[in-house]
Amino acid sequence: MENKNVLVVEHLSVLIKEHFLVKDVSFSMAQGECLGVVGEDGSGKSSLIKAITGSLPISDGFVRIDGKDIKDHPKILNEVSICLDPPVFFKFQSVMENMEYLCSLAGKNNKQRILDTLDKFNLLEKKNKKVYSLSYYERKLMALALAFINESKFLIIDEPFKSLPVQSIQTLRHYIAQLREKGTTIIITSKNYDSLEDQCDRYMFMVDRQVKEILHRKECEKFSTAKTFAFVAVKYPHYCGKLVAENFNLSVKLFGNRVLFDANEDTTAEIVKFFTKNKLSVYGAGYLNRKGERILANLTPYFKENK
Amino acid sequence: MFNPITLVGLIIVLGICFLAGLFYQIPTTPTPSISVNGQATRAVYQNFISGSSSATFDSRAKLDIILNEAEYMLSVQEEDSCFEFTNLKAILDDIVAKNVVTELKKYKTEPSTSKYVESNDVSELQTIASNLHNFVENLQSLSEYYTRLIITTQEFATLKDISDYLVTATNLSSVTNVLDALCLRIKYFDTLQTYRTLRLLNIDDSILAEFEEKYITKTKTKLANIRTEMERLYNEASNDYYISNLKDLKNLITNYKVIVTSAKTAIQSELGILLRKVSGSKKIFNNQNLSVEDMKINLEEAKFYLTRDGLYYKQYQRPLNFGSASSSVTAYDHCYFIVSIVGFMTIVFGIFCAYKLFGKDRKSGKLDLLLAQKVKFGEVFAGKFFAIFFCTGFILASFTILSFIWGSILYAFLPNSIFAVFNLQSGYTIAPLFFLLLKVVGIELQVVFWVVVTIFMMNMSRKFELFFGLSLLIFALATAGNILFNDQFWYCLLPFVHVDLTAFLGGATMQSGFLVSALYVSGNFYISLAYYIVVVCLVYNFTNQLFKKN
Repeated sequence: MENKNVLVVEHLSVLIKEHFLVKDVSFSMAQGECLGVVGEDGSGKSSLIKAITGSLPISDGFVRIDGKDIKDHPKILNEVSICLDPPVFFKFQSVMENMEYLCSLAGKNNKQRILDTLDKFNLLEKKNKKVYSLSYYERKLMALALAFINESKFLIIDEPFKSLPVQSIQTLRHYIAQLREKGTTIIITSKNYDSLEDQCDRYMFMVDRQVKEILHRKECEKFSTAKTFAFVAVKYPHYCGKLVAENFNLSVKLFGNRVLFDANEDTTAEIVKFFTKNKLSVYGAGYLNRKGERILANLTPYFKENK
Repeated sequence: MFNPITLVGLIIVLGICFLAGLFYQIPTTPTPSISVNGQATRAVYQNFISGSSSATFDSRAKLDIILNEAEYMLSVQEEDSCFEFTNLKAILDDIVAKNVVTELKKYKTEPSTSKYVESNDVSELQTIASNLHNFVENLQSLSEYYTRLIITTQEFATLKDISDYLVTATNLSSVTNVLDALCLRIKYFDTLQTYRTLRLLNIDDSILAEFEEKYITKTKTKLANIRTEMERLYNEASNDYYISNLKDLKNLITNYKVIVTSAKTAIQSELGILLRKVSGSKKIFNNQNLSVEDMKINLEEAKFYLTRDGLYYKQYQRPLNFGSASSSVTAYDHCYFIVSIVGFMTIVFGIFCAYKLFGKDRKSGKLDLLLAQKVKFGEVFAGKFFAIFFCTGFILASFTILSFIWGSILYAFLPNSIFAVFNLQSGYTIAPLFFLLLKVVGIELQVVFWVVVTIFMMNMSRKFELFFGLSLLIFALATAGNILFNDQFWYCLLPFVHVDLTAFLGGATMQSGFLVSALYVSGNFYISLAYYIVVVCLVYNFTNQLFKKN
């Protein structure tokens, strides 16, 4: 099985200025597989991608692509394409100029192919427009089109569905599916599991720069009925979490800027009143409904105050 | 953080460059400029009096001319003469009369009793005798028209009258040349010492009396008049009203006073050395406690003679002294002036480009975009770096050509304008075009240096704007330092901060030991180029390391 794995990551850690950006991450991917990396902001998704592509120095562990360590064989990274978020291009150049230039850097400057790809991604009409006049979604399409042209064996897409309307997300999913059909191995990162649902073969959930769980698509289904949590979104989650634990005798989890706890609506309302009385900013309250959030919430450990 | 192999390699390169600079010099490059800094002039003076073969002047023989001329002034003893020699009289009375000349006489009249015969070492004696003989011969060369002029019955009320007369008589076109020749001959005519010298050599009394009446007395009068006139002109020249008319004469008078005084000092030293050898006396007089003023005077004198013979390469000492703008402005002056200003702005532009390409692009993600396209970091670095290099080079080249065209059209209409402050045509012995090209190349090299400094700053932290500001601040401080401290030894350690390659090639005003010889002696251009390469490599190395960490 191992020799079919196109990507192997073992105990990968990235330590910059005494802070772990990625801590002890291990996983592998087979040829043609699609892996979704899900996690809140600051969970280490982007750092993991950068470490795999060589942009960040690896402090510990290794990354092997096609059996070759990227430290010893940096040229293997030529097989990897990455679509960054936000999608950055030379904004004062046109779409076509950008595509031609960036494809030439990758050694794939075929004008006809570029035009065909732009047509495929519905960007042909805008090929002469300057990039600064394109929308965020159109630039995302440009980034995907670029990856499509490069025909890399390995593709990493960072937050493809971020800040996009549903219809646009569907369109992007369609293009990603096309890439998968070509046999490309894909890693997609997203804050929102729901947007990745049914897109990926496996899902890797990251919390606090570590991998909490890697689940197959079917395994994620069981979380459909998983316990949900009430939450209160606050400005100071750590402090508020401590207050909730002390004053309401509840087990608390910290989830981004949200304090999670298992309680009914009345208790939640009391907690909101308590925060308000103590002049602590509250941004919202409710229950975690999204499957991805529920999965992550269940994977998140209970908050323990450091003594 | 450090790549040890790279670092060791760079240190080796640096060491080789230092050694190369010590032993290899570009022969046609101008000699270092000499500032009026005391340390510098002391060094010059030491070379001057020691006759060292490592003297910075091209021709020792030319310095000997100064000494020879000054020797003749031994005879000028009178207090009311044009120049002042207060110590030589006593010296000659004590030493020459008592020791050397006595021996000379003894040698001539009673050779068997002369110690020089016994020791068979008469070289010093011969030298002195030869000098004295020459002295008398010159006195007796009364056919020289300058000499005749001085002793003619014609009265000259002012120095200008004399110069006008000489211009007419000799067809010399320059007042400077005339007065130069005149003053050189003035010193021949002393009274007492000449007389005494002649007496010591057993010249007939009747000849001496005739000589004295015919020449000395009248010469004294003339000398007194000339001296008065010179002083009057000197004092008047300090009045602003007369500056435009008397400036040249003022400088001239100063120079001649300089000649005499410095010759006095020089001949004192030479005489002291000689007499110490002959008489065994030590410390006849103290020639070590020379004031800075004396040294300046020596320096001016040496420069005067060497410049006259085209052997001294001057460097502008006060580049922005508008009062010294030349009236003979040329297109080169215009061009140089504009390029100087544009050059400064080009460096700032280069710093900004470095911030934009290495800081802002990184912040916006464009750098990641390029790296994501399988482009190597080195290629990205080189591409951006050379983009800045060629862009700034194009700007400089364009402005150079445009300003030269501008100057070519307008220089005749703006003779005394600000564009003439650098005075390329008459201020330097390097061809103006070459000087101008040096300036442009120098500015471009400075752009390179400051760009790499900025790139290094951009990689220190993600606070790109802050470090960009820091780069600009360091550049501003370096420029200010270049103006204020460029004659200090410690400033020698910062060769790159000079905004002007001409200062470097012409020899900056640092005059200290090892670093000077390595960097600036005869303008070792190759060493500085190596420095630049080393800096660029270092910055690339650090950039690569820091880029990933930040």
